[in-house]
Amino acid sequence: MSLKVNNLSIAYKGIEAVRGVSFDVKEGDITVIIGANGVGKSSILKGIMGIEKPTGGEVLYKGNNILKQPANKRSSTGIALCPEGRQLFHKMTVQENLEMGAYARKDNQINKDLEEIYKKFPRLSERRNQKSETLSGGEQELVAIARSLMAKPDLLILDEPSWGLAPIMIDQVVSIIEDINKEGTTILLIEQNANIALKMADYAYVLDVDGFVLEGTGEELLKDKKVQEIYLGA
Amino acid sequence: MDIFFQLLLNGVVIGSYYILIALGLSIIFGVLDIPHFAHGSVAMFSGYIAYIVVSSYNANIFVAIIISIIFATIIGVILEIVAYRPVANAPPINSFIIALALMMVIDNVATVIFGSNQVSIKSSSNQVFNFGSVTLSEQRLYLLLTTFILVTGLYIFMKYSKTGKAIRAVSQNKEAAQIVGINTNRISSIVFGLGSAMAGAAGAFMGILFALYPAMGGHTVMKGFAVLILGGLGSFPGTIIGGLLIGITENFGVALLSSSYKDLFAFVILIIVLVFKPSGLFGNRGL
Ligand SMILES: Nc1ncnc2c1ncn2[C@@H]1O[C@H](COP(=O)(O)OP(=O)(O)O)[C@@H](O)[C@H]1O
Ligand SMILES: [Mg+2]
Repeated sequence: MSLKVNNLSIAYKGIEAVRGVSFDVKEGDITVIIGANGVGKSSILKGIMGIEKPTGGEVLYKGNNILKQPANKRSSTGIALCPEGRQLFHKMTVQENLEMGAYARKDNQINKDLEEIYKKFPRLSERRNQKSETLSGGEQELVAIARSLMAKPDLLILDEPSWGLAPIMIDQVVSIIEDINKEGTTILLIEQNANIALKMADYAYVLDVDGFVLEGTGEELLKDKKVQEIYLGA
Repeated sequence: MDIFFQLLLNGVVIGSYYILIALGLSIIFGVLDIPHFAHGSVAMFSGYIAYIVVSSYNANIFVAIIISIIFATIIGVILEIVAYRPVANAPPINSFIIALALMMVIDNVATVIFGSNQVSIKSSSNQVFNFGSVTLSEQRLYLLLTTFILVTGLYIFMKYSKTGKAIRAVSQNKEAAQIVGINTNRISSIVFGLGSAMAGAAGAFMGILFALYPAMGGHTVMKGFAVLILGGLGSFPGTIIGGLLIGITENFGVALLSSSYKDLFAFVILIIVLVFKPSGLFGNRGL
């Protein structure tokens, strides 16, 4: 098991946004969480990354409860987050953004990995000295994904990477995520776009305000009546 | 004509002092959103430390400047950890009030310890350089050189070092900075240390070139904020141009009009600029 979340709760100023959720991410899988806006998907990720302090529960990564470590140690344990809304360092160049992704690394392979990334994302290579705020939305999403890859994660968490992208760009992002997974990185993908996410999923969970209401393989959920009604607009 | 160049040079000297003060305020505000009103008081207090080191222990002024810088750095880091960090996630008004309170406390403590009379730091050597009839004292030259070195050093540090990049990252997107593994508390301390170090240098030079008195903390920080806003919040070149502009205007204003309006000139030019360019000369945030 890569990640095991047990009974995680998160509250903002006493108001619970996440109520005791539990789920597993299996090593090597693409695990998907779908759910409508505001049900607490991003909050779960903030809890995992240590940006919000959970009010209860535990997060086991490779068997260790990572909530006990300070937040800034998260990325050196092998977890990287590609956050909702990209969250780039907007006044920094593309290259500086990518370098920041490797901030927690201590090895000397960073420059080599940077060139690998540029090979994988030729669009970013051309724009490496451009400030990230001058890029298009799709290019910015690529920078965000590339930045999280620069941490060399074993587990990559992506929060709504398809958000705000043109359909052709969504296809590209989907194939990038599938490639990353094939190269051995475990993926936890958060999406509102259930249609594309469930097609990629080895295993998926459906979150609503009461917590997880459904789970199963991607195929099972795609066939599920309730999922079709609510999330696939069938 | 010579009097023109003399005034200009004097303006650049006092402008350097403002630049040293404003750069610290700028990175502290730019990264942490704290209006650090006690910044001038840190400069003042450190200047007194330099004064004591020279007057009581006969130290060389360079030693005194370095001790002042070290003292200011330590005070800055302590203020960040003890006073500002506890309210880091509270509404901005809290750090605003704390900043004002710290300014008053430090200024009052200085009055109790050092008295309210002006003191100045005596240098052992007093060489004067002449360029035609324009003169520049040895000490003023040292201030210009120190400012040049600190400004250039800070610029290179912020642009190229790993920690400098991390500081910019925190100023641009704190959450993303945490996600990539930056310890934002550590960055806060470093920012306060760096900014205060510049204030320490400024305070020592204030004592060497002019005079130290407890109330200068408040006067200095107001000028510093004027420079910051004039240049455009968070703009490095803006802070430098703004500091020079205010220093030069002040010197010409005093010479042409009256020294009783000395502190007015800075704010008149500030208001004029803001009328035409509300975001300041180089307005558009981003370290
Ligand atoms: N920083 C915050 N402060 C207060 N409430 C928040 C904050 N972030 C999220 N919330 C609330 O928590 C709930 C869950 O939000 P979020 O985790 O962003 O949901 P999702 O990612 O599923 O859209 C929402 O009701 C939202 O308004
Ligand atoms: Mg969300």
